[in-house]
Amino acid sequence: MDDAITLKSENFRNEARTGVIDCDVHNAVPSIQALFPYLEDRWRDYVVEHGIKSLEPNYYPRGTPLSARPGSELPNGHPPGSNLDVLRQQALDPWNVQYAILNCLYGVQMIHNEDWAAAMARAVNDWQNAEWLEKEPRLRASIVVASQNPEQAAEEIHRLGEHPGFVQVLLMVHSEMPYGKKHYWPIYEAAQQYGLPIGIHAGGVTGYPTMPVGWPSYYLEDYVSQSQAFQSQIVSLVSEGVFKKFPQLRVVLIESGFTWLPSLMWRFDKNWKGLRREVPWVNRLPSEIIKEHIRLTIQPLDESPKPEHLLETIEQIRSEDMLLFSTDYPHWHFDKNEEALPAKLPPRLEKKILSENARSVYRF
Amino acid sequence: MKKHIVATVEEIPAGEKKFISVNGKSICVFNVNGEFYALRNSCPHQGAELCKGSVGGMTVYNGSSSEGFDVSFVKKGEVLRCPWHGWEFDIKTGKSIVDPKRCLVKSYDVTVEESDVEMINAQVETYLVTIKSNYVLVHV
Amino acid sequence: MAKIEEQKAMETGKKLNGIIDCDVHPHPKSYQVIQSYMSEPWKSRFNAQTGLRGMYDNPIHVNRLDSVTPDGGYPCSDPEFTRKQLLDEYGINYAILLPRAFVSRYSNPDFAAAIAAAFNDWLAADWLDNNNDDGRYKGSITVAPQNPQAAAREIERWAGHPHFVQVMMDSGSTAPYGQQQFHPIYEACEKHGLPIAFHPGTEGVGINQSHVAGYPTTYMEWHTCLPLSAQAHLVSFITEGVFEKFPRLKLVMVEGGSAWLPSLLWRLDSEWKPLREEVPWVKKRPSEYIKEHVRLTSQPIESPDDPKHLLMNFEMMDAKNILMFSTDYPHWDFDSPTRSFPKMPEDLKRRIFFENAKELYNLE
Repeated sequence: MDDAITLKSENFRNEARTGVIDCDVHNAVPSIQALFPYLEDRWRDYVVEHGIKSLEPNYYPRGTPLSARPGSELPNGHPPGSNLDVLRQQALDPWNVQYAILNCLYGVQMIHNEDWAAAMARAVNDWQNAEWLEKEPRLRASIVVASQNPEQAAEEIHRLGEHPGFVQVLLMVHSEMPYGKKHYWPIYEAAQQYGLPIGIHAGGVTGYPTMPVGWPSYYLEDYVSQSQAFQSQIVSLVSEGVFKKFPQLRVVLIESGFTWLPSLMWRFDKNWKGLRREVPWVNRLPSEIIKEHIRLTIQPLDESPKPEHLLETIEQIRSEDMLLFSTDYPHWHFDKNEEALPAKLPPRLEKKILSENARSVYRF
Repeated sequence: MKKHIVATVEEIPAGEKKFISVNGKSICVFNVNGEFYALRNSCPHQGAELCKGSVGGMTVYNGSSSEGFDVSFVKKGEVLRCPWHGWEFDIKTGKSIVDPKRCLVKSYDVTVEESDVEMINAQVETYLVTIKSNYVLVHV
Repeated sequence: MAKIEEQKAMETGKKLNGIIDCDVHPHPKSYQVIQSYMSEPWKSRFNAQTGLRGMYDNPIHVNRLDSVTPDGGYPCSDPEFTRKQLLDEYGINYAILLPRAFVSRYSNPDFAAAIAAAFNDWLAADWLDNNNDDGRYKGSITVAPQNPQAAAREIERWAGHPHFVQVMMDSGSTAPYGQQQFHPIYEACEKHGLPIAFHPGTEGVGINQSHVAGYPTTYMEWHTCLPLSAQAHLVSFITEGVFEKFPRLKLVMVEGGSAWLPSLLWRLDSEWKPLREEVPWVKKRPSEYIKEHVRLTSQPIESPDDPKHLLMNFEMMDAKNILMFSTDYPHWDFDSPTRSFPKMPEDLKRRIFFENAKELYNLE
């Protein structure tokens, strides 16, 4: 019986895959010099005089197996994901991708000088436009912003908000303050104005421990613990009333799994029933707000040895609208393309994950 | 349904409450700004003695403001908060604030009647009633 | 077993229902009592006016309003009243006591150790050695993690006491607890067959790392996110190889939720596969350490709208072997032994409510 379902699903997949939307692909800045044509004179001079070689954030330390899937390394020493042709071959063609959303991870959020950070963000966005969006019609990009200064970040969103190639505003999950705080609201106001969701991706500012209890010793802990930071950001966004203030706003959580969501919603709802008065603007169940406003990309899959557990977890979420397909290229989470999706997904849900859910979040 | 005399009006001043037992059920009578209400003394959530909770008002959201949110404190004296988990209930309806349709505590009709005890056929022996007075009656 | 219970019931004149409550919070009648066990210079420095954290205090009521003692004393400060309101009311065989000294918040390790020691002296005098004829109160040795060697000495001071059954630290910390600096504590625990328990409450308070990105605004956010520190310490324990180094050590995660466990382990297993060269001492899949070494207490049990989802989750996490019932008496989010769990198979219930804790703490 299982075989029959699988077979049917496979057929369906081939059909559904025309028009896959990959919501997490990483284009890398090959070198800081690549940004110079897009960087204002003052800051180009600053970078050269300071001898700054790179703002590569080292979220994926070189040489760790996660950092690059086989074949994505480049012969010239440039980081994986920095060559458009290779990215086409490895990320776009195999999936018959209709759109892939670029999330450029470059350490502008780590810079303590707000003006310099904003200038670097502008340069990265102009570089993304010229080197990626204008050259490959299947690509869309996230607006990189320096969230250190939300007013300046909002200005950058206004600068690019009408550009059809940009479909999202990118924040990093580790922040100086929880993202629900009013401090960050200018970013949300601008994003909502242009129909841009906020993407929150693993990684973030320096100076703050990456685990909830201090600094980890090992990369394994660091990577696994990103999902805890995501949970705290959801709790903050909902509790502070961001979605009450910006009712059209959507937030996409990128690259930290989704299986932790049911347990968080259960606890959050239970607490809200007793503590509601502390946050009266949250005037319905937090889980309902989460289901309406939050979306999550599926890679890396936190796989149980029993495939049915993943399906049960999706059932526990009680929404088929929340999960978005992603490969997290060029990071290495799976060997065969088949493994990018949970096994034995019902065909209807698979189709929603592969493209429909993304279409209802992003303005393509 | 039967009427049960549970107190004289004077016995439960505004803002006060009185616990009674009717047919083995623990019930609490509240005086909310001069009006009487009766609730079953058991929280529908986990069975706490609900009416031992604190009575207050509730903080509600009115709408967005330029600063953030416009919030006010309303229903002063009308909201009962469970002594365990703090779930709020509207004393006037028995309905919970967080889930009024599915989570509610049994409420009973209460009337105030001028009468004497014998005429009502009540079994409350604790009140020595020889004169006409205003009584609080719970309909159970 | 049934025989022993019957015998106990006869002794106490009360029915025992096969329940071990793994999280009960005794409180000193006043903080002067704690002070009386301290010596100078700490005695004068100790603030006996308040035991509150001073931040992230509950906006409704921290304790069940009906738990005030008959003479108007602090909730759970009278062993007789607690016996009546909790143990006899529900037929609880044993209560595992975890006083809340919040010592991990202090910058001075000697001061923290002095307060921990005073709490232990008080607990032994008022709850364990006296007022405990039926032996139903079992205690936790409070230790301060700031100086692990001193903590180990404190464990030595109480080891062999018939009613201290575990060692307890606040999960609010400056570093993940799997790290080597803390190993003297676990060495002492293992030597004396005492499980180490982590309990939340000092997250983001005093010297401790905040468990969310930045600092939460409200108690609701702070409290909803408490499981994140439990998750991080567990990741650290496994990643640092604590259970390989101390093969008989048991870890109890108290009051940090439990439904997150399957998701966390899937994630940890998934990422361990590519990254295990970094932590070669982790010899087996991370999830394989749980059954032998880790227990979680249940309160506040996650309460999904559909109780079936919780039972699914029990299956995924092997609740039958690792979950231990707790009430958190006298705190506001108390889980009633009769009302907090959905209907479940009798053998599963017996394991969660009784057997798992009985085996862990060697109770009869």
